[in-house]
Amino acid sequence: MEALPLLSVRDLRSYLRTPRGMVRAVDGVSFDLHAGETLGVVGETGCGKSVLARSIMGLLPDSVLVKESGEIRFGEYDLRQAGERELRRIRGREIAMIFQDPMTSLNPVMRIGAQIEQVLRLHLGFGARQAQERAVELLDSVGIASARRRAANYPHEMSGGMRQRVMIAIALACDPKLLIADEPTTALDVTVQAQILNLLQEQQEKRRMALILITHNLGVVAGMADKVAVMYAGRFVEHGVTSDLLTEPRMPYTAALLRAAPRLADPPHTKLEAIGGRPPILIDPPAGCRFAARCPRSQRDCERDPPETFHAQSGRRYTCWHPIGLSDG
Amino acid sequence: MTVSVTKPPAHLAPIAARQWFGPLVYIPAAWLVVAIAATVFAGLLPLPDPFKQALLRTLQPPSAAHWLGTDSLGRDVFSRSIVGLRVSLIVGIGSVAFGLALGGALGLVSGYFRGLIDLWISAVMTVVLSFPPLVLAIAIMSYAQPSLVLVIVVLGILFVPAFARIARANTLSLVEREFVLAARAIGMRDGFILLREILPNLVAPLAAYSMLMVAVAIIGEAALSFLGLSVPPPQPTLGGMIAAERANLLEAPWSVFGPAGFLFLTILSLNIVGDQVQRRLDGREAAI
Repeated sequence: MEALPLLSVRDLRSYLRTPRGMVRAVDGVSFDLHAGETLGVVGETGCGKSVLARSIMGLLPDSVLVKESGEIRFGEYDLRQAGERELRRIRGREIAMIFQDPMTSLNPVMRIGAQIEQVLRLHLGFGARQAQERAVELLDSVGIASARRRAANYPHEMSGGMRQRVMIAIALACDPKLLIADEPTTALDVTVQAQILNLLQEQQEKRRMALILITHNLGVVAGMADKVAVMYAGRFVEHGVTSDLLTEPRMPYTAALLRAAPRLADPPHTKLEAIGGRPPILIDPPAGCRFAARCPRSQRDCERDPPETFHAQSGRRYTCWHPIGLSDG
Repeated sequence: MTVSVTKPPAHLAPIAARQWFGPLVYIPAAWLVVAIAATVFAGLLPLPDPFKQALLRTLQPPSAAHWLGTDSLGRDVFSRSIVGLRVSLIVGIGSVAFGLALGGALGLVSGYFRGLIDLWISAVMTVVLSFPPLVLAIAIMSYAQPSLVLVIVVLGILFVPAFARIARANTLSLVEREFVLAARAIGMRDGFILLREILPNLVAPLAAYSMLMVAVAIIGEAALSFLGLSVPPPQPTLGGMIAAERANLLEAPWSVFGPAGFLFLTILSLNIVGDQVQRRLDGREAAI
């Protein structure tokens, strides 16, 4: 590969404590992300996407995290080894995060402006006046009209889309090198979704920022991501360049996801193909391939032996014994 | 055909157009304002000296000179009641402020950090709660030298567990909210999150409860002073006045009903206004 990656994750495992036992929420994830690149992470609910994001940020509380292993390198930092102090300096300044629900991720009793100023003062040592000015500029840059007046608003005076714009303004305040967007548009109307995604893309290009976009919307990924990782049961089951992966899926799960997505070209009332069954519970995952029970191509060896990760050309990786489109399938 | 336009029902009216409180609330609110003003400016009012005895004019019925008559030592009941009410209000507000500050801080810390510290704080709170409150207050007051500060602290300690529990319960649910995670994701320290993110969200529930607790504290003070365990004489207290004059109840009912009436009106007012404030603040909570 050319330059050193900005973010390099190796065999990350995050096991969480739950009342019913230890959940292997992230179970051996590896990937590289370069500056300016977008990685789309797709997968069903509960497959570990959000835990992955929080692991990278070091945001999982010790009370919940039973065991974490692997390596997370970010620029010159080793995030797994970094102390809480160092992590606090990195969070918000070098790596920022946007959450799913803009309704709850802003403090209800604090003015919008003050919430943006907070980051500026914390990381960049801005004075009160300077922070105020910069907050207004930021609000303006994320497309909030009459930003100066809006800065004095409370969150409940704004719509969901506007609140998500405010969240983006907070995230971008310190010019982070990496932005993790955890389902940033799930809670928004479809028309607003497009606006928010455009905004993200525009800001990303302007700042040459890397972006990890977590979503379960394949359309979003197709439009924005350079690379896609398909996550299933705590693992990346397929990972590669977006166009390759979406047109020629190797892993049957990716193919199933693609078939389950609606297409504009379909005639009206076409039934979507659902994937039968449910993802395995990650307290005691199946021994073999975790998708085997729901996989149309599964054979006896799938349930017995965990599939290896195969590396194909142009960085394509898939975890499957019987990939689609290859002779042995 | 005509279309009749009717006013939408009250619960559908926009918040701003809704009536703040029913009209009945303004009367007790006015009483509280007058009572507080009177006790603060008691020295400036053209009232008879509350300490001046007139042994030849004892147990006088109400008159133009003595609005609520005189007591068994010939002192003016009305001006003594106002001075006594001052003690009640100082103790009521002071002890609630004490309980609010200490209990709120303890609840905030135990709800945020959980774990061992939560276990200890909650255990101590449970122990304090397990005492019958007035018995505990009486026990402490009868061993110590009664004084205004001591009354405030003793009653204040009794309020700590209640405020701690409210703060803890609210903190527990606030910590789960995404904005706290978002604050950590921008690199905020715990102390900052506690003070800047969570504490402002606790103001409404704690404030709503405080007003009702002031009434409880005033009753507590009255009970202690009735037993002679509050601020010592010659400082008049409402409870103390009732205790001293209760022997003259039949002859000179004004000497007992005067201070009792002040007590009654103040507590009733605090309860009505406090109730409304609580309802109002809870509604705001739900709207968020």
